[in-house]
Amino acid sequence: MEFLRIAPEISEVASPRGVLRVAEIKLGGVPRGAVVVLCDADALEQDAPEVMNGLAEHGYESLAVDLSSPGPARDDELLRDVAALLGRLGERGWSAEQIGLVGYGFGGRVALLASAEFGLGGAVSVAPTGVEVPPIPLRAPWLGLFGDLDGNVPPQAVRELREALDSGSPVHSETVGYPGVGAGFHRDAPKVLAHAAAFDSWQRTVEWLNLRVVPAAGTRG
Amino acid sequence: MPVSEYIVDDREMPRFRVNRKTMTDGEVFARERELIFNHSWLYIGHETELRKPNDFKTRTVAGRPLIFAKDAKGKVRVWVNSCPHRGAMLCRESGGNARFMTCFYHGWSFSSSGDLVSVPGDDGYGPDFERPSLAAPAKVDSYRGFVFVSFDPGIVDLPTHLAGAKDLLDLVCDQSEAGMRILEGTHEYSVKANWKLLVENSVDGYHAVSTHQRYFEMMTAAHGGFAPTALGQSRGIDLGNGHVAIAGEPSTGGLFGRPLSEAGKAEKTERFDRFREKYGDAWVDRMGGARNMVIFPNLVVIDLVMGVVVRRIEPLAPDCMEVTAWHLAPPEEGEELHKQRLDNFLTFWGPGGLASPDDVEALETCQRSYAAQRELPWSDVSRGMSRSAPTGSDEFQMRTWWRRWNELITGEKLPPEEHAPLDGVHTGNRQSPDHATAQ
Ligand code: FES
Ligand SMILES: [Fe+2]
Repeated sequence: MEFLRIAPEISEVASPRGVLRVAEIKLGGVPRGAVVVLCDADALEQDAPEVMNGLAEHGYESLAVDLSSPGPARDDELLRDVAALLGRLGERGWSAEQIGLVGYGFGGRVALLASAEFGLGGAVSVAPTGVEVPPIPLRAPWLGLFGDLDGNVPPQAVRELREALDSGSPVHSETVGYPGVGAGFHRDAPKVLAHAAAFDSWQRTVEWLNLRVVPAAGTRG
Repeated sequence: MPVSEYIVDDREMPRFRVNRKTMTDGEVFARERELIFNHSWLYIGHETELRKPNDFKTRTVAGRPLIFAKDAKGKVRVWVNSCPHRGAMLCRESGGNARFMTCFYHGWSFSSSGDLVSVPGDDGYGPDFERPSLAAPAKVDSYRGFVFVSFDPGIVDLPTHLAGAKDLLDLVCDQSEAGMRILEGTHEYSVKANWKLLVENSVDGYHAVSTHQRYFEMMTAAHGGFAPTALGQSRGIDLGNGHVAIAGEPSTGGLFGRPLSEAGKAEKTERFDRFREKYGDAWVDRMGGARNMVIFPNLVVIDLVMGVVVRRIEPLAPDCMEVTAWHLAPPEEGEELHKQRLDNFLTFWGPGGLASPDDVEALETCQRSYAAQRELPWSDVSRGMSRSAPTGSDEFQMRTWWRRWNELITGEKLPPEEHAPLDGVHTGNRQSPDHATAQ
């Protein structure tokens, strides 16, 4: 069976540090919500169409970007990039709590930082490249998905983060560790544990958003 | 005045008997649902089970599927777990965290504050269509973290209903400065017996040594001796409105549970010494005694000081109940004390422990034997009627509970028993905060 695939449109969003190249999928009718996808470094082409189509199946419009591509940036600059992307969705009528944020790798680290900054519906970090300083308190419910073999964030670091968030953040958060995989487990692979991690992490990502992103009430636009 | 066919309360002999029909009859069961459960305050859960905004648990209370939740602002809410559209269950999990609950049948979405926030194909409804919110029980209120619901909008307020049970809850709750907390996880089991048998059993000091012989043997071995006579010093107590308890002398708190190391004992003593400054000796002496309490009709709190179990009994049928048990603990306790507490909880009350399975077996054999109720219609609950001060091994507390039950089911109001008032340690009060700072 052939599924309809939507090719994202490429456009630009202006941010204080320059122009961000974004991929965008707009939906007709009444979308469930909107999602900003922060891809891993240099993975926009590889990941964005897959992830964005997956989100569209669940009714989410989306905007995807690789925040590493304009060159090195400080955390506050990265957060201003996210603000600019949220502004773009705002023009389409989406309020912060109707927006979800999903980040992978480099973008996963930014998604965690952004969870403390913006009152989004929900945020997910898939194999973030770092969780050094837990941004406390979080403002958006945050889900962290980790590969147990990921040297960037070993299980011990996840446990410490978990404890810091439990005691220091009034907002709900969860972490999940996948055995036998490192970073990049969101991409499907034939090995059993890798396939399981890819499947489960996507299920959890969508469920996380569905339970928290404020649904659009009536006909928009 | 109506005369009950279920209870014979003979003050002359004296003798108190309960008809076994109360344990088997479908009509009695239906009357209980209507006259007791539909018009009482019923425990649903503890506030500390909901840690963060949008946390929820699903519970069945008096047959109703309910959602026990914190909304986005952190306020405790209780909802009927049924979609106002055409009825599907909104939450089919035992718990979780969700800002929105989306009905899987036709996709209506509700917020954790109960509002209908989205309807697929919204244009199928007229402009004046009133979007229904989630339904809720008539009343929700809490006392020191214990959350109760009532399906009766005209019911007395919760503190009035709790009457003397408040004092005993205070004795439990004051055991932590940070606030007693329900530990994660529940014990859930069903018992093929009438729910009232477990009510009786939960305040039955008489059965302890015979039914739980194995447990006491283990304790004797672990402590190098055991003096169950202290159990006889306890009192059976009428807390008003059908709530009852047995409360032990201060030494009873040390009777149960595995022995502690010196360091563990020291930590415990130090904590209780701090309480002495804060609450006064009279209150802390009382706190140190074990207590078993039934809050009418179906909430049990047993505080053996080495562990506190909160147990809710949900009647399913005349001969079947579901039991949910939680562990209430002071979060500030060190690792050894906490470990001992967990171990005590499992070895005594766990579904695979050394006490609860014995109780379950006892109750199930009672129920099976009631098949012969034509030949043997009455159970005897007279112990201690002739004693001036009934002990925890007497059955005064059960009779007191039964009289309330009888009043609600039949309208017959039997006078309370006359006994010596509580004295000694059982009357200790908490000193006022003013007094505490003045010390
Ligand atoms: S029954 Fe829930 S949406 Fe129809
Ligand atoms: Fe027992």
